[in-house]
Amino acid sequence: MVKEMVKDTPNMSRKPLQEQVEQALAEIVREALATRQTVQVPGLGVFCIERRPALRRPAKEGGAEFIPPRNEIRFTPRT
Amino acid sequence: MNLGHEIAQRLRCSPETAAALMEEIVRDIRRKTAQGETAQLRHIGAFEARGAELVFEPDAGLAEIVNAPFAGLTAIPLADPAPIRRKTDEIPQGERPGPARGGLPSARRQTRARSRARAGWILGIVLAIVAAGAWLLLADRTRSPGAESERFFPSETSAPAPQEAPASSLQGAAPPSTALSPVETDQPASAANERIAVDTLADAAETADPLAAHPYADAPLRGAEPIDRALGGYTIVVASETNEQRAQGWAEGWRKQGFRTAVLPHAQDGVILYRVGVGQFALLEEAARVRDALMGNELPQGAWVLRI
Repeated sequence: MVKEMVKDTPNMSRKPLQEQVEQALAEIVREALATRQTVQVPGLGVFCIERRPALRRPAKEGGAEFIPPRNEIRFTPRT
Repeated sequence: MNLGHEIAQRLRCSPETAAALMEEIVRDIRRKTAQGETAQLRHIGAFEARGAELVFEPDAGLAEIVNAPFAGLTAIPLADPAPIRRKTDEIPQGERPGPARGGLPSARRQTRARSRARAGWILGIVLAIVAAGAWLLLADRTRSPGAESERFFPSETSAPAPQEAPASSLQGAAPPSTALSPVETDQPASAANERIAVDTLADAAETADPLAAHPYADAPLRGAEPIDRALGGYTIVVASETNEQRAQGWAEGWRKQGFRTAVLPHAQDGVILYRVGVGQFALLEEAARVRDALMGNELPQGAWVLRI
């Protein structure tokens, strides 16, 4: 099916076709997550960003430590 | 966001082709993980099956991009607060209640011990606040002083047309509350971009970091060279106007300050928006990092990253 589609799309070279789609997909996901947008990949799942605020927690060596805030990438697989 | 359409637009192919190829990639990931293997999606991360669940481990580069606003921040050790003794804890031999040590009654000694523990806690909390303040001050020092941002966003700038969120936020409205502003992912229909053939994309896919070799990698933000749209990359949008002359005026102002600029027209809902971009960066994370570092000082609060 894909080969037929490649025939219909003359401006795309055949071999790295899947690589091009993979790269475009990576670019879109990176750009969306960098701006804290949610991305849904059909058939795979949803990528989103969860912000973890700064916190104070006990340190392994004793005492406590202050952990800076961070963004975490969360993936929810399609069920 | 319709992923199939977005990919089709970037690769200049039909949405059906893009959707079918994407489906194939997803099917491949599902097949590998079902066989107990780890499926790698380049520049995004790895997937593996743990039990019935599909687990995702993000790529280090992707994790760095999303954490660009917090780059350079590390954990700070805090002073250990004094331990609090519980009622159930064993009391050391020398502190057993009984005949008064040093003449103090037992109840009074307990009160003193409690107030000492409280003082220890207070001291610990004060030290924690001081450490947090120092950390925030250090984080703020990464921003350089400047006062140009207000000048280029007068409240009376025209905004008659319906516009997207970032554009409207730049035209005199309040700045966005989130740490990052949206990135434009649409490709402007320029003649230069149309020349980028899919063959170029194929060549780029074969190299690890295709944008690293761009000629503007050395001086992405400042310089006499204007932004070259044919080279692609990312820019920081500092103003959007519906009037081209006014947009050119803004661009000239930024150019006089030493920034590399360009006016990037973009058609939206029948209206042409003239976006003023500063800098040309090979990587999204680089543009986002510069924007975050200079926003509020040299760049206006509503500045956002656009794919050229």
